[in-house]
Amino acid sequence: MALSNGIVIDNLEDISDPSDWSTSKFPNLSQLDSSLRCQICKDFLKAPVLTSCGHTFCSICIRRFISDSNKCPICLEETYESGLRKVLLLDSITKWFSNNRSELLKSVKIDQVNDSQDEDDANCELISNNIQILDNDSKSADSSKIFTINESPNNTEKKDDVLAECPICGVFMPITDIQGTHIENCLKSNPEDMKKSTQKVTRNGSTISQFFSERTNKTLQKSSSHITQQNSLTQNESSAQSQLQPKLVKTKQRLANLDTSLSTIKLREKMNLFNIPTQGTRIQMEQRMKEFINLYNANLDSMNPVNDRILLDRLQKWETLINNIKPKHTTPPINADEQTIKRQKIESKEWNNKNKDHFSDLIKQARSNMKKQKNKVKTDSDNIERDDDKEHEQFSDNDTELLL
Amino acid sequence: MSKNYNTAHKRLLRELKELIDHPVEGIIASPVSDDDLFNWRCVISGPVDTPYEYGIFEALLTFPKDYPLSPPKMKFLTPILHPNIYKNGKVCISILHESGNDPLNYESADERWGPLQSIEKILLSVSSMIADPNPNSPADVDAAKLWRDNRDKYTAIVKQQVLDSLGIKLIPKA
Repeated sequence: MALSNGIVIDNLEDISDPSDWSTSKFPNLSQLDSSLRCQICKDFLKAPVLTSCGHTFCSICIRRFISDSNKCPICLEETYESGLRKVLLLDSITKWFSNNRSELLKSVKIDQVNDSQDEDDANCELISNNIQILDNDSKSADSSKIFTINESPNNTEKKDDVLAECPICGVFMPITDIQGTHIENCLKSNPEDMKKSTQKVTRNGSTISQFFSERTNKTLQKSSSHITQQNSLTQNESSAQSQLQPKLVKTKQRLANLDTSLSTIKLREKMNLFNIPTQGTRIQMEQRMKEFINLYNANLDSMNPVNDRILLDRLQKWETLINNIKPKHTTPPINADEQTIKRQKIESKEWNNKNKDHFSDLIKQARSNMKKQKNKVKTDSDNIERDDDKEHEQFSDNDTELLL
Repeated sequence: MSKNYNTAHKRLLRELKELIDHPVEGIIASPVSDDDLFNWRCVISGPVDTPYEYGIFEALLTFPKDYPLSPPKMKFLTPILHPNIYKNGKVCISILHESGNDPLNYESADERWGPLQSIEKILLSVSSMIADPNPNSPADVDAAKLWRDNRDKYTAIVKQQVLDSLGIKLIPKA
């Protein structure tokens, strides 16, 4: 139970909500916050895509939804998987916002701001400066000044808790973890893909080790200048670059929707092609393949796509979660089914009891008929048929009741 | 955070937080236990100016693993007489019906389930359904008949259920 407590209690604190801004100096930021969220998972957009009707969702969310019903969840207009278009700039914007959110929130909190008027101004400038960075305005001198003002023991202490996405496996974790052993382990575990991943990280011209040694060499007190450096990097990046996916994506083709009329052997062949496990029933295999296609295609919509091995990991996680949930989830319906089955049994017994006389009359009649007609075989089969009819009636009665 | 949880987990946690931070009048809902986010117990108070007023009705919400793509199921644990609630407590309401699952087009698509709906919206819809029964698609035919033909008896039964739900026993006059 100690471990399980975590699911609800520990994670509840980590859930961010647009209403977090309502107590800040800029309550209107909650509008931006909620605009950058996917309406399906209510989390920040991940690899956002645009539907043909103009609505935006996480690629994976809308793909999962569309594979069930070809409708936009917002306007209910017909939407097809083939009509989805990635929105790379929005991906960059959302990533920036979610990465800087906790810091931004801290700096515009009212209780902190009330301390002094100077800090107030600094914080205002900080925000406007950050927005300018988005606009690709280069004011490195200004920003360094402002960030130094912003430096406070509170901010630097909490730096450890800032989550970042591992560039290799895409998992969110504290920055210190990534800088530590995680990234090496991540790379070691798949030497073939190391080259590709390295390319991804070295877009700015430095190697991974340089990139992180720069970070780790800095003490926490120096972190403000570190931020400046980071931001100047962002500033130097041209807006075209912020919309460029790694070249790797271009070499990959989207997977077509699963053809469910495919023979099991061919389905297995197809799954083997991507190293997808092929155990389980046909339905399980189809579900697994469908989810993989969704994951695969959604990955191609991301600014930072991961390699197939990680997709397979996610697929496995997805499946274990479904299997874990299954017993809990299906128990009540199973109970209900048992109840209805029991009820059906009781009802059929009652029905039999009620009509016992009628049945025996029928049997008597049939027997007398048999004697009269001397054709035993024919009348016997008639009898059976009659009983069958009764059975059918009884079931259809139950059915209508259930339907109601 | 939640790297080991899928969309359904995160979404349910988010909705729980929302319900805690911004409680809605007449509605309480939370997971049955800390280790199971997929079964929720909720309490709906009887709507004002209806026979159900003052009643406390407990229900169980069971979420599918692909929530919010599929709707949860809702079942009342407290006995409640209502044309749109089955005798076993199961709730029959359009918001809990999967979208694109209605060949008769009886319910328009926008009032059925979609990922944009939420637990809060479900419970509010159920609350307004309790206040305003829809006798045209009854789940409990007997209740619907009683509601239509013998409203006094219907009201009396419901009021007794409300007392029962509060654990109050009236002592008959000697």
